[in-house]
Amino acid sequence: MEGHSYQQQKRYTISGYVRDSTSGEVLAGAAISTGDPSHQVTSNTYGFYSFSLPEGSYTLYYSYVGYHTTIHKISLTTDQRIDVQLSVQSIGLEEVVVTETQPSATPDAMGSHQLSMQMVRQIPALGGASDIIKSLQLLPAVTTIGEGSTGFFVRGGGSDQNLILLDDAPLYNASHLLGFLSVFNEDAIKNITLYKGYFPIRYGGRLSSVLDLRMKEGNTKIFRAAAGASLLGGARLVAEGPLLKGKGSFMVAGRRTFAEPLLWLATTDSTNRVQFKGTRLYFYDLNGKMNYTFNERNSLFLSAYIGRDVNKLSILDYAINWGNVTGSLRWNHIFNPRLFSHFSLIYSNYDYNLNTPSAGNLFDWRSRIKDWNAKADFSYIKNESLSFTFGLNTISHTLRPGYNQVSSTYDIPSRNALETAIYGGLGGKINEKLSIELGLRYSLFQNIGKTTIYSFNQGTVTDSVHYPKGKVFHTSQGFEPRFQFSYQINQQSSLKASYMRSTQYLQLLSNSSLSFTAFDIWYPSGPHLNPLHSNQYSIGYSRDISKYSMRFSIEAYYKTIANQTDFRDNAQLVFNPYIEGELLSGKGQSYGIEFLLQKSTGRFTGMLSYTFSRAKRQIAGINNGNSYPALYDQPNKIAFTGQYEISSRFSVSASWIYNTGNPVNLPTESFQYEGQTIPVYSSRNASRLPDYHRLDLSATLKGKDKPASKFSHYFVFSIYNAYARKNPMTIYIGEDLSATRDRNNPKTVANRIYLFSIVPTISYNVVLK
Amino acid sequence: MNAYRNYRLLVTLLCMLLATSCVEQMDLNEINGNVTGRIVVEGLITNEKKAHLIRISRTDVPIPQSPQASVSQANVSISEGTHTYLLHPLDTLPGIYATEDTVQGEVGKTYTLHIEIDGQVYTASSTMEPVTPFTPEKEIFRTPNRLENPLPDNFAIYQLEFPKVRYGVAKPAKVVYLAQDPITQDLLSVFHYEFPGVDPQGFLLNFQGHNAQLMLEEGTVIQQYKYSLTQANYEFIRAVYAQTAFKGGLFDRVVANVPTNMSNGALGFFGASEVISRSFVFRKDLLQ
Repeated sequence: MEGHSYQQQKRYTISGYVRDSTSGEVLAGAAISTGDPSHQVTSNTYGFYSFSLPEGSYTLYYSYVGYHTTIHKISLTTDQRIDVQLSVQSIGLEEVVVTETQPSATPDAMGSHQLSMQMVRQIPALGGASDIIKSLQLLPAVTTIGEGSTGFFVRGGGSDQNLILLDDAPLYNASHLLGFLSVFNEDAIKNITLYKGYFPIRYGGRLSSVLDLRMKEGNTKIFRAAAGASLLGGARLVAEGPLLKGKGSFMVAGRRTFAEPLLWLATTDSTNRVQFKGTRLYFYDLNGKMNYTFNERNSLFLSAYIGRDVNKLSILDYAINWGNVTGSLRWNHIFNPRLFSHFSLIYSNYDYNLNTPSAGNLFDWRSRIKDWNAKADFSYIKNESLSFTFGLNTISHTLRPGYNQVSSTYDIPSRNALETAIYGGLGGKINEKLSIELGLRYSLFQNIGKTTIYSFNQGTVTDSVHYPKGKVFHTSQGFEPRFQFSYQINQQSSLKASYMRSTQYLQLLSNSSLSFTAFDIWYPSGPHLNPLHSNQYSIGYSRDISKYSMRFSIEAYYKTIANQTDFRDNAQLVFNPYIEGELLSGKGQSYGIEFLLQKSTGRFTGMLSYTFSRAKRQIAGINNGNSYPALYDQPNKIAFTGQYEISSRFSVSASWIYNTGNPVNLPTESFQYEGQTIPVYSSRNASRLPDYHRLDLSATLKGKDKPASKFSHYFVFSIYNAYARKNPMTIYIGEDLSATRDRNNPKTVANRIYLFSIVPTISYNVVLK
Repeated sequence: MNAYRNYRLLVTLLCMLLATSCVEQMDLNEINGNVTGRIVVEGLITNEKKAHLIRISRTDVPIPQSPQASVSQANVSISEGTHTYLLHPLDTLPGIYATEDTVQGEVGKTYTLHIEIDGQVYTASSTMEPVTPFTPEKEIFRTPNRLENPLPDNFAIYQLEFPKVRYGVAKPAKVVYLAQDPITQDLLSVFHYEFPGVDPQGFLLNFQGHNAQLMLEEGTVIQQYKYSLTQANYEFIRAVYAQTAFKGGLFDRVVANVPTNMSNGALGFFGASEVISRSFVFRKDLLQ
């Protein structure tokens, strides 16, 4: 700012979109400033920004991590629309000097992380298949159980307490290939944001995290295509380009795995070939998005995802299939330079099916959840110091928790519900150092017939009531206040504190001994199952270490969960119409402290984190009412990932992860009854697997760039589990399964089952320029 | 389909898929430390006039390599309010205690087992409920029971294999069969349970491991007994199978201790059952 008094002069608004200069994609979280750190705004999820300033002359800085800062000099005498395009920094070129008057880019909210797709691609991956959720698992307080799994747990919450949104559409199972890969195709994703401490007020319905993924909108300037293949991720193809003379764009990305040839190679004799006949083991997914800009004020976006896993294991006589279908239609409308809105109609469907296709005893079990969601979000920017967000949304949930084709006697009654939320909040700067965000969200959950509701006493049905179609027979509600303070100690350091209350009405009932969750039953709260409520308190400190382009942060949190459920002892999950009677409610508690050091720019980028955390449950009727660790309680976690770009063609990366072994139930004693050895457990989740640690390495070699060629290509060489650590996935007590077993004299042993030793992989990728 | 085969094949499949997965033995007994040696009871009183047996032992390591320690210095009795029957240890079978052979339970009465060991008292009560009638003899030879000719080209001798549990009955029961093996002339005794509803894991893994089998030929006399089970006894047995024979597939129940009706930290179950019996001759027309 060049010598103006903000308070005394007439104010005008500068607004517009920030985009990538190469692809035309919008950039969310770009910082726009006059050079004075106290006068800075960031672009929203859709790349839109609005900035109110007094009349005068200004220098505006537009910056974004990994991009050159763009400078605009303006004379502000009226409202102005300024759309800006930022160009990507190239490693090896002279970097833009970030002066003290320029803002640091993309300030993080409390407990939030943004991952770039570049980082995701550079992290060494199992089978050469980069995976977004596995990349997230390197972040502090994000844990997983099992090996190579895409299930994740955040700050002591269950996997169902993560709201996973793909272009605003919820995904109820984000796993492919028995959980080894997530459903997110790296080619189709543009932005990844994980909120785990403080959720912006527009998000609700989950307690522990929001994972907000945005699909690419497509290149508005040129047509591009790319293809690749890897051992685990299969073949993939992406295409994008402009529509209607650049007024719109499209993107289509698809994947399909081909594991069957590996099975065929493994079947070296005719007996095995017969055994594997009919085996199917693949997934496919397709992402598509298109948009059209009618004028400066109106844009329309249509995105869709369809994916399915097909696993027919003929030798086991099991078939397990599941898939998600989502769709989002969004209209962005700018009422005026200060009032931005978007209206969305969102669809999501998830279903799974387990069956035994050729068994003498036919077994078939299905489950489904379908949502229709209408929402309207508004953001009003009064000035650079005060903005408001408000909106409402309503979701129609249709659930068939469990049904089969053997007998309707075993079906879990269908459930219908309407989940409505209205919310509003403000963000502002009290002074140059202190900023606040306040918000209140009110949610209403109405159970609607037709259904049958059972009453239970100690798990036994005592009564049932049938409700006709359309009848609202039960209502739950939640007030969810949230606030966050941020105090800028100096140019490099800041303190943050936040409080958040959340309500969750849907729960995932799962046999969670493994994080592969094809065995999913989504179940709503109701007359006899209260919604979950959580209170989370967080405090953090962060410091930019400018000399090394690094940022260091510490965050501590404490979270309580009311009505946390768990299964009673010996609970039966499937073929059980009274599954609600198998649930017990109590308290959940988690706490932890997270240390994170990260470097986002330069030849070397990476992050190092340590987390100490605990996640506990206390539920009457389980473990004699005593507190016990959650299955994903891992007190210590260390994660490192780093990438070094040796040249413009060659880069290397490494990641190492360590965590305390997760709790398991292993017998401590046994007794005999009718000749059977019956296990005795000391308490729930009392034992632990050995500690988990693993080193992964990779190198990327790009082909020589030939200007005349229409193609470029690159190889990725990766080694998963480089020092061949035998991390057990589970321990199975039963007949000896090891290679050294005596087939003629079978005996009962503890089998430590691990999935991966060292896994080297080469993947090849081609990009159409 | 059996649980062992399921696990082995699943692991094999993942091995082939990933080329590197593996299974190793580990010593669970070392991981979990000392055994507490809790009292374990296995016992039953019926409406039969005979010596009723109670077996008392102690818990062992998770994967025992030898028979479990028996308890031989216990004072054991069973009472039903009016009478108390003392049990005496059997000299030839350590840890087994028996009533006099004149004791006969009655349907509707509640029996309480009282055990005193080293100053500690352990009790359990069970009410004898009536047993449901036998189903027609032909039912025994229908699915899911398996009938095969075990000897090549021999259609005179049949092998009848039972699942551990037959599902879909109105009330739970235990069924026992006695028959003389036509080849070895040994008297074979086998049993299975009958449960209401269905357990998915049992539904699929019912024939895993060793299953009860009878060898039959035309003219073989089959002696059949049927025992009533109380709800608590049924839930105990159901949990026993869920945590043992039927464990290891995708449909496992939540891992937990099996319930017990014993007090003071003891394990196992003391039951009371009405027993009915019948005998019939195996004929080929029963197979039709």
